[in-house]
Amino acid sequence: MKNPKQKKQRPEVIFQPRAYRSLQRGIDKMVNTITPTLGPFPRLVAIQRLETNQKPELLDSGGTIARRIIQIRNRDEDMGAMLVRHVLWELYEKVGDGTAMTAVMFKSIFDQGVRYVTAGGNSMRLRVYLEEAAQVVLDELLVMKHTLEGKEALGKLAYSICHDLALARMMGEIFDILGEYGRLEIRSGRSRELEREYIEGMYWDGGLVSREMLNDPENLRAWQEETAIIISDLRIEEPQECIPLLEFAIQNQLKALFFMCAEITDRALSILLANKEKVEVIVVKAPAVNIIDRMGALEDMAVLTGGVPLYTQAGERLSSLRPQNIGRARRIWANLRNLVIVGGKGDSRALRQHIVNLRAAFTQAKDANDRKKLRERIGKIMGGSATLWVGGTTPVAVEARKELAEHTAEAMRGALRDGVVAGGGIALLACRPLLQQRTRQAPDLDERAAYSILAKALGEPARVILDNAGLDSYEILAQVRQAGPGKGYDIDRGEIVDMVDAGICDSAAVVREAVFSAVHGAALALTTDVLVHRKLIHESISKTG
Amino acid sequence: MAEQIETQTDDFLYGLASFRKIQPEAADLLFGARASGLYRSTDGISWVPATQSLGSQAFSATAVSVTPGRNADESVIVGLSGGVLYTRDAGETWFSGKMPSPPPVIACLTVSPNYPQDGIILAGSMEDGVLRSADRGQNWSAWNFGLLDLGVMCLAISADFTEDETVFAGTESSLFRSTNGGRAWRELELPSGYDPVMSLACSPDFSQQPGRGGILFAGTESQGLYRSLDRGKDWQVIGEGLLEGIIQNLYLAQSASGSLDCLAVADGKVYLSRNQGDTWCPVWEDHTLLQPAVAVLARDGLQPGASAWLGFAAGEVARVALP
Repeated sequence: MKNPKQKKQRPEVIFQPRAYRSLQRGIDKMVNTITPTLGPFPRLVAIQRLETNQKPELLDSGGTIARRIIQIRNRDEDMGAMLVRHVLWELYEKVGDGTAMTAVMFKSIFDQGVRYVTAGGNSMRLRVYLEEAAQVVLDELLVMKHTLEGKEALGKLAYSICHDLALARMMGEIFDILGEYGRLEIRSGRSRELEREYIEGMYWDGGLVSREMLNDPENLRAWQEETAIIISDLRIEEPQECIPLLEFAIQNQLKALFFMCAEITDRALSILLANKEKVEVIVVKAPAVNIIDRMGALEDMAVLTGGVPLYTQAGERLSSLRPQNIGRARRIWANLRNLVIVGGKGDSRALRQHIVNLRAAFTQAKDANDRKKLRERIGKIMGGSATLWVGGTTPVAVEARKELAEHTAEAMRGALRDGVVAGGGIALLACRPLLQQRTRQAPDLDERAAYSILAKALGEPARVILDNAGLDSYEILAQVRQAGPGKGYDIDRGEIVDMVDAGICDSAAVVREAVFSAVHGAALALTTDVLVHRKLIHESISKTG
Repeated sequence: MAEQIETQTDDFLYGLASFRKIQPEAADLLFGARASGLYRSTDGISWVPATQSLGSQAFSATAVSVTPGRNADESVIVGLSGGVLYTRDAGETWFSGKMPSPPPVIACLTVSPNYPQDGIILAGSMEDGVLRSADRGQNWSAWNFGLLDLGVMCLAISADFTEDETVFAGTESSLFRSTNGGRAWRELELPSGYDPVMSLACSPDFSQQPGRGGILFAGTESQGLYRSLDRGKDWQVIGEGLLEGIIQNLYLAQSASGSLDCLAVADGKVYLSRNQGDTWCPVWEDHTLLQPAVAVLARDGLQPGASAWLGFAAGEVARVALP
């Protein structure tokens, strides 16, 4: 029987000029939805939830807005909208920011490109020249890159992101200490203020397997100094399996031992507890549930402490324990949730090489989740972590401030890692003279058009930021041009300032990636000549979704 | 002409320090950190144990540092193989600093140039990285964010520490810099690879502030002496062919003419440069031929004729004059 909620889509082929017009309308709809979120005074976009009886979702993140729009009504326009959506979402996944900036540049390049191509320009040649021009901008942005150091400069950067003075000061101090990879936990506070705590040592999930092992009951901790650690993902079921561990400890005169395993039964544990007068063995759970994450954590701990882990998959057991399996640390403690290693005695050269490898993997990783996990691993072994307690007047205010803190932290990590350029679109404006010079020198008409199109597009983010703040962008941009390089308009203070000195910066990686995505995405769209709709069955989304 | 002072067999001299009493007529105090304990002298000739008030308990003094400049504060901080001792009355009464457990072996100490006001002391340890006290040595905590090698051999503090909060730490495998008063560290790229950094010195005008000057020297275990004219960004080897082996000690001073004078103890010999390290010549060879020097103290600067103290491995100290 035919489902009344299903309707067939007729196949159709769309040619020019309708193809361009449709793409353009779709791109406009998507970009115009995101544009209000650009700048320090973003406006919100309300998105209806699937459950229509709930309040709409209020968003100011271009990436999230793009992700929420999964289809627009007109199927021709939908192709344009989805094209730009894909570009923005990929960018957001990669660098976590810069989507609104990309969107306005994308639209400008596409609109100008369509005008040029419909007037007789060659779209393929224009695409090639646009991509060449983008490389000029990317190189120029690299030259402009600054590194930020010190809590003052980082505090200013944080303020330009979150516009919360107390939070910005705190973030400046925290990131000055933690660096770009450091572990920062943001929790709801118990007071109205912001508080922070720095913790020495490397943290992992996976606490004590039994309260019986607490040797510091006041602090609910078990700790050892100058201790040996056995890192493993073994599952210990029978008490006899623990005998080689005890024998090994006694033979090697190890009075204190931390033993990490995936699981241990109460029966097996009891034999270790019964012998604690001879050897104090503290058993902790191996971190992570996922096998890949667990392997990563064990590898990190091994490098840090200089021990070789025992792996179940390699057929290893406690009976195969050798002296090289023993890692060492100045101090280890564990509570019921975490394990902390302080002063691992692994080879510091191997540790640094391990960090280099993890950083390389981080740079190459495309998936946001993989990048996050790698960043956490690097942060852990760099030593120490911080907890920020976010307070507020109401639970809703606390949650909002926590989200703001998380967003600020993410943006600051990027800026610390890749350097910063003048914010507010000023770095992009500063690339325009170079492109204008290339325009004058270019012998080819398509090449000249490409440089000219990109030069104009680079001015769009600055213009939109000022417009969004309710200012006269034309007048202010004229003042900015007069003021000279590096100068821009501080919307908060209402005056022309040196943007980097004032802490109004953008992550260099975000700006470069935004230029790359906007140019390559728009250039690809410009070379699209025909749209083809296939025969599909659309199912309307039910209310339960 | 040098005077030989105090010899003890099986001893080792780790460091020398001196501070100036606030009363101009009072004699300055010299301290020597030795394997057999901490010694004190008012004239550089006769030395007495400086921790007599603690009784006869023997301990090894591995580092010593004093309050900078001439002021009412008479703090002396002594690194031990298991903690820190401090005094605020030039050694009359001693206190033990509260350190994290297990007790660290202190390898080096440095005091903030603004110590009378901020009370900051940093201690480098053999296994526990850098420990920091902000209350004149009473309480200590480890601050090792980013310090990937916890074996700290030497520390050097910026002359402009109050403003730039910059400290350098030479470790068993690299060089690290902190720009927040020793709380977090970033590795600097020294061309010596993973060679231990044994000695460090910042020029007296060193500042991390933009537009200000600053020269940094780093002495390594086997790769010679390095100099950075841009606060640790780029490095060049200096004294090649002359300064070889372990660079144990470095001392920098501004001359009256404004140039940078440098003294380096390399593999037991002492070398002097009067042009910020471009050229070097050996000094006090008659002393260092007999036994290797390990430390040098030149509290009056490096101008010709000024007095300096030369410490030898076995614990002896000799007063010498700069050529």
